[in-house]
Formats: sequence, structure tokens, C-alpha cells
Amino acid sequence: MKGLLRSLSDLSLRAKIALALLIVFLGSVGVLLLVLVPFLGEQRQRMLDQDRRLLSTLRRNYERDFIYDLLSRNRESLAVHLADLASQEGLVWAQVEASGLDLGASGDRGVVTRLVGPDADPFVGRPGVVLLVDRDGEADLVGPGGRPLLSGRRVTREEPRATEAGLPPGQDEFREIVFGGERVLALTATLQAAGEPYGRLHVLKSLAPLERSEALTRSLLYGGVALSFVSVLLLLNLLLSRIVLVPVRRVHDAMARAATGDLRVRLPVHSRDEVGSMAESFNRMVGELEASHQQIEGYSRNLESMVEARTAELRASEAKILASQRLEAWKEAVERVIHEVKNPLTPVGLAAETLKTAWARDKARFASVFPSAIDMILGAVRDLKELIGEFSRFSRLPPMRTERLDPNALVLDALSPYTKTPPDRLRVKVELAADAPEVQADADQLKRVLLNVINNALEAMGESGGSLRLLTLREQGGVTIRIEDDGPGVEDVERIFEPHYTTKVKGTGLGLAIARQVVEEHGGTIRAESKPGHGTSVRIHLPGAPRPEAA
Amino acid sequence: MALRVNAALAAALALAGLACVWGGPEPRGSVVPDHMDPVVLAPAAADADGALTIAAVFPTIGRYAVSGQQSLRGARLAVEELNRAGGVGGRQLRLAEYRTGSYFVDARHAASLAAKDGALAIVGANSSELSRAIAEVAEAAGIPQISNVSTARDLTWDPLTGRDRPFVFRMCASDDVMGRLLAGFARDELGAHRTAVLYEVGRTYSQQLARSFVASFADAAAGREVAEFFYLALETDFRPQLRRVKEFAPDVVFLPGSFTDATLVASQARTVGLEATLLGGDAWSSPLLFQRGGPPREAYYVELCPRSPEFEQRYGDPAENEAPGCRAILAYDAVRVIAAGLRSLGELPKDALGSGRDETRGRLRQAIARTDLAAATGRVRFDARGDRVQGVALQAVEPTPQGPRARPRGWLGER
Repeated sequence: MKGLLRSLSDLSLRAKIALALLIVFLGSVGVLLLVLVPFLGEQRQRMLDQDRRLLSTLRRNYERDFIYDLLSRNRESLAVHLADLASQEGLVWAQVEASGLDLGASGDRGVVTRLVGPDADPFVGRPGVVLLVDRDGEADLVGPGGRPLLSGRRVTREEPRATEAGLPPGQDEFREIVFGGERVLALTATLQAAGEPYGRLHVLKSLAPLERSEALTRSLLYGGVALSFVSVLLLLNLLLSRIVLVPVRRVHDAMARAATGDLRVRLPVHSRDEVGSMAESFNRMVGELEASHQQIEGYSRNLESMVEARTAELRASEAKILASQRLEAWKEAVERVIHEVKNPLTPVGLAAETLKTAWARDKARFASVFPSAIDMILGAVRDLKELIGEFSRFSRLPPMRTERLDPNALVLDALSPYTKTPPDRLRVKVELAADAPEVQADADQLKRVLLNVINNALEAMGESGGSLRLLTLREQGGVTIRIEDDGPGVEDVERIFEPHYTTKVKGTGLGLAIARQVVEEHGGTIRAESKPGHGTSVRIHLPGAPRPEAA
Repeated sequence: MALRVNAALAAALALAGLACVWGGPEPRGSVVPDHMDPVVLAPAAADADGALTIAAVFPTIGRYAVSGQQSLRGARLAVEELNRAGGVGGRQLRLAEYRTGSYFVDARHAASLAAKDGALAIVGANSSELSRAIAEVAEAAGIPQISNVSTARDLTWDPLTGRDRPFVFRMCASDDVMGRLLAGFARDELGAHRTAVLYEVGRTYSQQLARSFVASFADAAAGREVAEFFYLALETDFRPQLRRVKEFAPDVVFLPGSFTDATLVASQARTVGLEATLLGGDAWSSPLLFQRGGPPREAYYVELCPRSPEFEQRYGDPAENEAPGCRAILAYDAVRVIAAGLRSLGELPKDALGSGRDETRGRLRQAIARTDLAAATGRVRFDARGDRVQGVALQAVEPTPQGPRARPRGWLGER
């Protein structure tokens, strides 16, 4: 039951209306049947009454003839009168019974054919052809005016049963009986004159026309009622659909649009009914929604601009910090440069001094010290040049030109010099994550970062060589590039990104500082882990590129 | 979906409705009896071979069939006897029997056929209705016609023109004569002063008999009063009239109707306490008269012929409901009259039955008009109109413990 109710409630509104109309229809038909069935019964009664009246009229019309025929025992005259009566439409049998005279007559095709057989075929059904049957079954088929057609046949006459009780005088008795297999209305009456009985009359009328008419009326009535009901219901359905369904559908569509975000949608209000007020409510609701949405958008825009302002401020201060950091670094660098420049200058000075002294004092010695002195000087100059180049690169970091990059491709690109002609005793292992997200980055700068880190690693591993491992990992929406070596490691690993820090014999110490700067400018981080004797691992994390705008 | 459901429902209901509408075949057309076609069973047009053909036109079908059959048997008996006795002038008589229905058109058609078939004379019919139809044809064709028991006074003359029908004869007294004789009987024998006449309106026989009775009986100077009462055809309840008849307090009630009317009246007269003497005409003649119980006192009626036990013996004892009464014997005598007429013509010329047939018929008519024959029913003569000069036989019906019994009680009028 509950399931049924649920499945009913799952029906569409239209189906519900149709179902409701169907129920109304069936109910009305039921009520109508309650009305119609008695009506049809009445109609049958009316028609039966009509038949009864007809039979009574016929009885009255022929009664005197029959009484006279009986008084005069005139079988011939009785035959004429009976034949006349039996020729009346719809009668299947007429019979007069009296002492000494008993004659039945039928003009009914079925009765005549049944009693006489095929001999009657040429005559039966023609106007005025009647079969007259005596009590003893002697039958004559006569035509109009009593003209004999077939005479002296022996037939078995079926008697319409008379009532056992007899008839009250002056009253026609009617019964529905079966005569010759057919349902008939039978009138049995006492032929009487001035209250005295003279004989008995049976007149049998077929009920077939009544039943046909009844069936016709019934079918017309039922059919007509059904058809008119159906058409009314269809019309109602159509009307209800227009009145209810269409506005509801409109509301439904508007709601669907509103649900997908179109808050500008409004419903026309045509009526003051529930649907109208629903539309009004909807309009009001959407209006409020739109207003609050606009408010939120306003807030959001406000917030955005505030965030932008703050961000700008932050950027500015960050820039300032960066600038000051850079200044600091710059100072450090300058000091370092000064220091670094000063350092080579000492051996240059010493070598020049030695050469000058040797040149002045001992030409032979000059010749012996010259190459080493010159080498020293040239070496110092080379170092200085290198220093200056490095410095100038540090000081003049070009502005980033970012693009969407595949980090894996970047790693492979950076590794290409080593993978093409791998140095002796160096094993390079690359593990790339297939799902590494793209990054928004400056390819040249990042490549230099990677090269720097790789070079550091190679240098850390030194002549003895070792294994270098590069991995890309998807992490926190971005990518992490790990460069691991199995070199000796560094003790103070946090400091390797400071500008002046270096563990190398040669080098400016700026490489990893630059790397850090580049990575941070990309919004990433660079970290190093190391344990002495267990190698070093540098992790560069870069945020993933923002989702590209749908093309 | 919902719409489809509705459509399916509508379709189903519409189909159901249609299925109901197709009930069955229409009833067959109504049966209307066609009485326009005359019912005549004519004899085969056999070569007469010099025989003298007499046509007998009587109904053997319908309401007059029984008395028609009796009449026919009487005529047949006469022809048989005559032929056994050598025929007429050396020629055999041939009875051409035209058996008809009981409608006047049947008789008229039969008469036309008889005229065409060469009959020299026609015997028939037993009912005034049919006899008059034959008379029209007989008069027009010039064939002598003799009716056995038709009493209508306008049989032997044309009611439209008032002229006599020279070719038409009858073997019995007319209504006029009968009414006059009955009035005389009531007046002289019964000594009646007050007579009620209860007759059927619209039935010529009844009306004419009533008229002639009233005309002869009523005489205010002599203190004889007549009150007329009437009924319509096929009346079965006479009590309202009988109550008023009783109020009139008559000595005699004259009932110029049929024995069936008389039977009903007698039966119902007792219930209203009417005890006057009942008097009737020849139409009372039936063994079924007063079958429901007769009047408490003697009643009287007339027969158109005297009884002839000798004839009745020859006629035989047919197992019929109705005694032949006068029909058979008067038909018998009619044939005898024709035979006598033919005999009086002497030797017939060669073409008497061919091209001279009309002349033969004319001569026969003259011979019949001059008839003076001692026949089974007495002396036969015709007056100028062709009515037999003849009275009527009075019958008395007396109540007995076994029921009413009729017996002859003299003769009224010419004998």
C-alpha cells in the first residue's frame, strides 16, 4: 500500500491529473450505471407495457369475432380471423380454445418452417401467409384471404401452457414463456361477452424486437455516455493542463534556470491563484537572491580590491625587503669581491715583486721564476675574471619570462650534457613522475638552477665519482625535483644557499644563492638535507601552474 | 505518457461503445395481408362436349365457407340426379364449381370467370354480400343467376338505379316479405301491442328486415307501438340495450340478427330480467341457436323453406357442425329450375353453346321467369322482380329440460 502510494506520488503532475480524472470518470460511470440500469429496466418495462397494450388491443379487436365464430362453431370464419390476427407484425402464435373448436395460427417464419418443414419455403414469409393448426395437429398453410397453399399436413403443435389456476374474468394475463425455443410475451385471455366465458385466447408476441431495441438503446446509451464522458474528460484534461500544468511547468523551468545561476529570470503573474502566488513568491525570492548575490559580489569585489591592495603593499614591502636583502647581499658581495679581489692581488703583487727583484738582481733567476710567477698572475687574473663574471650575473638577474613547462622535460634538458657524454665513474639515475603537473616558470633560469645544483653535486662527489639521482614527484599541487648524490655530504647544510658560503676550493659561492633566489621568485622553495658521509639531497618544490583558461 | 493513457482509455471505451451499438439485424418488414387478390378456385376449362354448363359460385373458404359447402353439395346433388335421369334434352349437365373466398371480390371474380368460361347460368351465392357481387356481373353479362338463400331485397334490382335486374332470381322470400309476414304473425298470432326491435346497424339484412317489420307492425291508431334499438357489428354485450328494452316493457322483442346475436341476447336477457317473447328471422336458423340457454318462454323464427325429410335423406348425413338448413335444398331446387328452363327451350340450335350462347342465356332467362315448377321446396314461381313467390316456415323454439328445441309451427304467407 505504501509502495503504491509512493509510486503514485512519483508520477508526473500530468499523470496525476489524468489519474484523478480517470477516477472521477470511473466514479461517474459507476453512479451513472446505478442510474441507467434502473432506467433500462424501466425502459424494458415500458416496452413490455407497450407490447401488453398492443396484445390487449388485439384481443379486444378480435374478441367479438372469435366469440361469434365460437357461437356459430364456424371454423372457417375463425380461421380467417385467426389468420388475420396471426399476420400482425411480431406475433408468433395465436390460438383460440373452446369446447369443440380449437385452432392455432402462426404467420411467423420460424414457427411455420419448424412445423411444416421445407415444403413451406416457397410461401413462408410472404404477406398474409399463415399456418392454421387444429388441436389434433392437422395443419393448413393458407395465403391471403384463406387461399389454401398446403393442406392436410400433420404437425406437432406446441401448446402455450395455460395457467393452472384459471383466469380471473375480464383480465388479460401476461407471461413471458418460451415457445418453440423463442422467448415470447404470452397473453392468455378469456373470451367473454357480458361477463360470460366463451373460450380462451392465446396470443404470443416475440420478445426479440423488444430485446433488440433494448440492446440498441443500451448500447447507444452506454456508448454515448462513455463517449461524451471521455470527450469531456479529455477536454478537462486539456483544460487542466493549460490552467495548471503550463504555469507549473513555467515555474519549474524558471526554477531550473534560477538553480543554474540565472537570477535574472522572472515569471509573468497571470492569475491570483496558487500558481500566481507561487510565481509571485518565486519572483520575490529570486529578487532577494539576486540582490544578496549582487551584495556578495560587491563584497567580493571590495575584498578583491582590498586583497589586491594588500598584496600590492606586501609585494612592495617584499620588494623592499628583497631590495634591502639584495643590498645586504650586494654589500656582502662587494665585501666578498673586495676580499676575493684582494686575495688574488696579493700573489700577483708577490709574483710581480719576485719578477722585478729577479729581473733586477739576477737575470738567470728571473728566467727560472718567470713561468711560475706568470702562471700565478694569469691564474689570479683568471680567477678575478671569473669572479667578476659571476658577480655581474648575480647582480643582473634578468626578469623572468615564464611559460608553462613540463618539469620532466626541464630535468631531462638540464641533464642532457651528462647523459650524452657521461663523465667517468658517474652513474645517473632519473625517475620522473608521469603525473607531474606543469609549472609556470622561466625555462632558462630554472635550467641554470638545476645545472648549478647538479654541478654542486658532481663537484661534491669529486674525482672519485658516484651516483646521481634525479626524481620528480607530484606534491602539494606542484612538483618536487629531487637531486641526490652519494657524495661526502656537508655539515652545515642550511647555509649552502647563502651567497658567500662555499665548501669548494674554487667557485664564487654565489651559484646556490642565485638558485634559491630564482626558485623563490618562482614561488617555490629549495631545501637541502645532508648527513656527512651519506650524500646530499636537494629538494626544489615548484607550485603547479594555474589551470589554463579553457581554450 | 498521461495523454497516451487517456487516449488508450478513450479508444477502449469508444470500441466498447461501438461493440454495443452493433446489436443485431433489423427486424423483418411488417406483414401486411393482401386481400386485393381475389380468392377463386376455378374448375379446369374442360371441353364441355355438348354438356350444358351451370356454374356454381359458392365460398368454400372463409367465414361463409360452411354454408357455401352445403349449398354446393345441394347443387351437386341436383346435377347428379338429373344426369342420372338422362340429362336435359339428351345433353348432360355439367356443374362448374367456382369455390371462392368469403369476400365479395372473390365472388365477383368467380362470376366473371364463369361468364367467360361459357356457363349458361349461375347458381349462387349463399350470402347476400356475395350474391349481389355476382348479380352485377350476371346482369352485365346477360347470364341468368339464381341465388339460393340471399334475402337482401336489392339483389333482384339495382339499388343505384332502382331498375330491375331481369337476369337475377332467388329461391326464397326477400327481407321485405319476411318482415311483413313476421309483423303479421306478431300482430295476429301473438297479439303483440308493444314490440321492441333490436337490430344491427350497418348490416343490410338486419336493417331491412327491421324496416319492413316496423312498417307492417306499427299502427298508432290500433295501439301498436314499436321501439327501435340498435347495436353495432359484433356486439357481444347487449345488456345496456336490453335494460332499455325492458324499460319499454314490450310484448315481443324482434331480433332481425343472426342466431349468434339471438343466442347472446337470449342469454343476457335473463340476466336483466327481460321476459318478452323473442322473434327472429331466417338468420336464426341454426342448431346452435340458444346454445347458451334459451329464453324462458317459447320463441319464434322462420325458415326459408319447408322441411323435407326426403331431401335430407338424399343429402346424406355429413359430419358437419351445421345442419344444411335451407341452403342445400334451395340450391338443389335452383339447379332444378335451371334444368327445367333449359328443357323448356327444346332442341337447342347447333351453335347454342358457341356463338349463340348469349342468345341461349337470354332464352333461358325468359324460361326461368316463366317457371312454375313443383320442386323439393314446393311450387316455384317468380314474381316480376325475380323473387320467388314464397312464404316462410314458422319455427317455434321451446325450452325443455334438455335445452331449447325447435319444431315447425305452420307456414306464413304463400305456399
